[in-house]
Amino acid sequence: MATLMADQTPDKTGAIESLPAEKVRPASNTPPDEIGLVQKARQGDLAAYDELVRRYQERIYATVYHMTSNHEDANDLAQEAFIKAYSALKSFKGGSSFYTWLYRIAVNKTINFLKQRKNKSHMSLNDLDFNAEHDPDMVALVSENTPRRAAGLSELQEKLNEAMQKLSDDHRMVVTLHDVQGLSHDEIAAIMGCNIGTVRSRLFYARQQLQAYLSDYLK
Amino acid sequence: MTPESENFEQLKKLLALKRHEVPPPGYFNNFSRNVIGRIRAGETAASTASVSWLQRLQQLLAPRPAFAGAFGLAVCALLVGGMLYSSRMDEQPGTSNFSNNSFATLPTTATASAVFPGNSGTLAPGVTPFNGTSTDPLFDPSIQPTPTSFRPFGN
Repeated sequence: MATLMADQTPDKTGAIESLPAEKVRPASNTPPDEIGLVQKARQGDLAAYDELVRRYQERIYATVYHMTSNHEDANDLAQEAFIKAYSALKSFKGGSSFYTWLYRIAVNKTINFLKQRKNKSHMSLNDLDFNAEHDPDMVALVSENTPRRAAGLSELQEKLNEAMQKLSDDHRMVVTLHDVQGLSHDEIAAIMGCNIGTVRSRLFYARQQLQAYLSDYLK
Repeated sequence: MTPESENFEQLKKLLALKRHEVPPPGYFNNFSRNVIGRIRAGETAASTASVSWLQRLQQLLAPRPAFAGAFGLAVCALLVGGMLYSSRMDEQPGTSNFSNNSFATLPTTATASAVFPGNSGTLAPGVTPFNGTSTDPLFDPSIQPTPTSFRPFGN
């Protein structure tokens, strides 16, 4: 697996590189008010950290959920990622945006969890929201039914998640971040600690794999 | 558009389905509250937990590398100072009760009469007094094992 940890994050042994609070450098793509929130949170202001949690809770949860295909695991891991980030805030230098740094922690935590879980996975999928039935792309996919894919959206959802679980953790992460969450190659490279070429090749391979697994639903 | 990229387009549309997978309604209303609650609980537990003086010292020094360095230097200075003081005390005669001359008065050999003065003339007949030394304290060629014969059972 590529090294996920950059200089700001805890390493695999749990050691955290510390840096005095005054050394934080704001990343160019960090919103101005976020710098203030991060500074306050570093000084122990939980109200400021609560605001940061609210900003990123949905994205972090979604990333972990799409990696695990399990709501309970995603709930635990997302919470633990925020707690870990709070305890490691002193090591946050500001070289990247706070959310990239936070993503790294969540991604690393999730991949470590998946390595331990191995084959004991079981899916606990969230319900599709109301908009899914009215999404033109979904309508098109379901309406073009063949006898073998006469299923509705829920079966399509299950098959898709099964196919995703067959991918390696790294490939699933790239697909999740790019095709599901809409992050750019640059952002994914920064989060996963690899270069853009690696991100592109992983994405291509993962799509090929998914295409093979879901061939019945993509004709 | 190539068939492959067309299929990827289909795949991307299918993957977009995952965006519609959402947690139970109201889930995110309590999410941050739970996170902050767990952080508070962790801080409380950490503050009340009994930690050893070594861990406290480590926690105190970890975020302050300069203090940690100064502390290390101080400990080293104390150690070196203690060693120097100790060696200087050894060099001054009469300042210690355990000078080298104290050992000169000890006998280099030990005899039965020296160790047990009251038993000087009570050695068993046939046993010669043996003056053992510290380098050869036990071996006495005059002491031989007594021959013993065993009768077989039944005789």
